[in-house]
Amino acid sequence: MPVRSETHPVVARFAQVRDAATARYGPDSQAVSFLLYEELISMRTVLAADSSATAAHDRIGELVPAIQRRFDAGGVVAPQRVFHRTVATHPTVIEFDRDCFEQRYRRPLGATGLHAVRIHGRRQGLTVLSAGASYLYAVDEDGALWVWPRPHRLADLMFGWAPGRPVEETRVVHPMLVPDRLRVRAAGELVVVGSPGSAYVIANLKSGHFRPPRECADEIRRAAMRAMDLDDPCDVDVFTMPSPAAA
Amino acid sequence: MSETTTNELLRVDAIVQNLQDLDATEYGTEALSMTQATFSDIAL
Repeated sequence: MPVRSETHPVVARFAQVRDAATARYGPDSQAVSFLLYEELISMRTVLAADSSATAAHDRIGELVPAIQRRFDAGGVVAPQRVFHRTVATHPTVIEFDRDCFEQRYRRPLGATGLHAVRIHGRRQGLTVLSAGASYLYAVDEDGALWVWPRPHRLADLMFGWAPGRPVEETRVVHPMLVPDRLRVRAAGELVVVGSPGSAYVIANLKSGHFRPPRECADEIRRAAMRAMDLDDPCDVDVFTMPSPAAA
Repeated sequence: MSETTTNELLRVDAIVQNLQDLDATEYGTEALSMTQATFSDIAL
């Protein structure tokens, strides 16, 4: 993507870093996708601080479709075994397998000493969530937004399950956010930026355990708007994942 | 330059450091070069 002379300094800096990543890892690499996603978080942060920042607004308009195109083009790896099923439509509700959960995740969930937190208002949300950090979220079957109250760096979520990486015993997975019913309308990663005066949400559907289809984007958008007191659907960026068959 | 812009430029520096740290691991270069997205919890 060309950088114009009037480009915002953060955009210009990201362009430099992205060029270096493109040269080292390739133009279609996850490293480049990661940098575009981080740039979107930065631009949303700039816009939350100054709603008249047209350069940030314009750049967001370029970044959102560019990131989605990359997710669609790159595809995803098909699961070796499927432990989830769709139990309802309109809206879609996905259920994780109870036996699998009890066998694999009940004990690790207890070991964390934590549980998911429901977000119900911008002030409370900004107390629970650190602006700019990444969190696992689930929208339960009633449409409520739950987050796991431990922040991650985006890099750890994007590359944390990369082949060859050591797996932590207590790593949190999405079914742990809804242990009672194991049902979601959407699940993935979520970033909140801004302040009580102005906030944005950036979310995706990257749950390997629930594999939410594209239509679940409406559910996380709706849940995030309600949970963070947002009036405009455009204040929530949502990225979908392609189905393995379409990869 | 606004405080927000300054902070975001510092954040980019931290992101670059993240990438360099990841690249220095055994699996890092391969992970960063992948074209397929990975999920935030492992695909079973």
